[in-house]
Amino acid sequence: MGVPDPADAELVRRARNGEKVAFEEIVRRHGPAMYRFGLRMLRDEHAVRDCVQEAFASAWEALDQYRGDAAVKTWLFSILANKVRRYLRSQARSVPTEIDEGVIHSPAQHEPERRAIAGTMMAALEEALDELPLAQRACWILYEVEGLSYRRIAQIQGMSVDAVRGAIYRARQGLERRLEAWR
Amino acid sequence: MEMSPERDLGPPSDLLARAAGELRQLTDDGWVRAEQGVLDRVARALRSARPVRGRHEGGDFFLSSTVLCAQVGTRVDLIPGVRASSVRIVTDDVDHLDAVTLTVSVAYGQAIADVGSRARGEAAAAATAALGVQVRTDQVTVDVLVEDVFVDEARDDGGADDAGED
Repeated sequence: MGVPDPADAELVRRARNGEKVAFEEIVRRHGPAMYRFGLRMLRDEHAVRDCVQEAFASAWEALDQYRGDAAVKTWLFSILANKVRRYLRSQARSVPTEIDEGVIHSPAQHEPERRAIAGTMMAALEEALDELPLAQRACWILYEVEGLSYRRIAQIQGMSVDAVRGAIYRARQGLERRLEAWR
Repeated sequence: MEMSPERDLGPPSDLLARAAGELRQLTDDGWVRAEQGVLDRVARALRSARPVRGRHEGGDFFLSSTVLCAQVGTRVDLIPGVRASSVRIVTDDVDHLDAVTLTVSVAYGQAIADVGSRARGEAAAAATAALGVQVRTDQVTVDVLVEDVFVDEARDDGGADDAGED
């Protein structure tokens, strides 16, 4: 997972020199995973679309600053994670009481998907994820669903590797407890 | 036995592995709905760039500052123990190159003054090659800002990153 993707590197090189077609290919390569991460974090299709759109637009605008220190996927997820955090903080600010980021709850998911999974283990999982603190939720999704390494998650989340490992550990404990009935 | 978070986590339980697998399958339709909107937004996004005046046998030409920044950054990246983080270009009123500000991180243990001096020289050389005019550091300001120190992973891959949040 730590090996740079040469196809990504070439696309970035071309995109950095102004080839938007190359950047669109980056969008198609990484968009599905980014969207999936955003949806699991926010559970609101419209908010996710906005965050993913803005993340890619920011990436395009800042492409000349990307030096390849992190994998392209890590860099893109870092940008998206910031957009998601800002969105959730903006939502929290609209609530007239002091809210700890750790207990921010996401808005309702897109209704058709909500109905499709009602009564399933997936619905229970989404509720369980929603009850996790934000960092635990993000780390668990990035590790277990997206298959990223501790180190990449640390870069994305702005946490130490040890903190990431601990967050995943606690997320697993919390999810196991909440999903006990589905075992 | 309870797992310890201080060491590598083992594989998830069957229950959580199944849950993660289902999550991976669930949202593809959502991306299909969102994709075109994302592409449209990217198509509207503008990267700021200004023309930089260069010269060849036929006269003047203009090079995008985005391209010039990329060429300077690529050249500086070739210096052992140096990573160019960003390159900023300033031009005068008639689009001549006026200043280059290079932000770099250097490998731990490098002599920063020496690295900075070499980075300045390489940045000027890259600009000279790209623009076709001699870029001398006594005429064009080439500032090098060392903003960070990194552990050379080729020598030490065991460290943990503590990247700061935005």
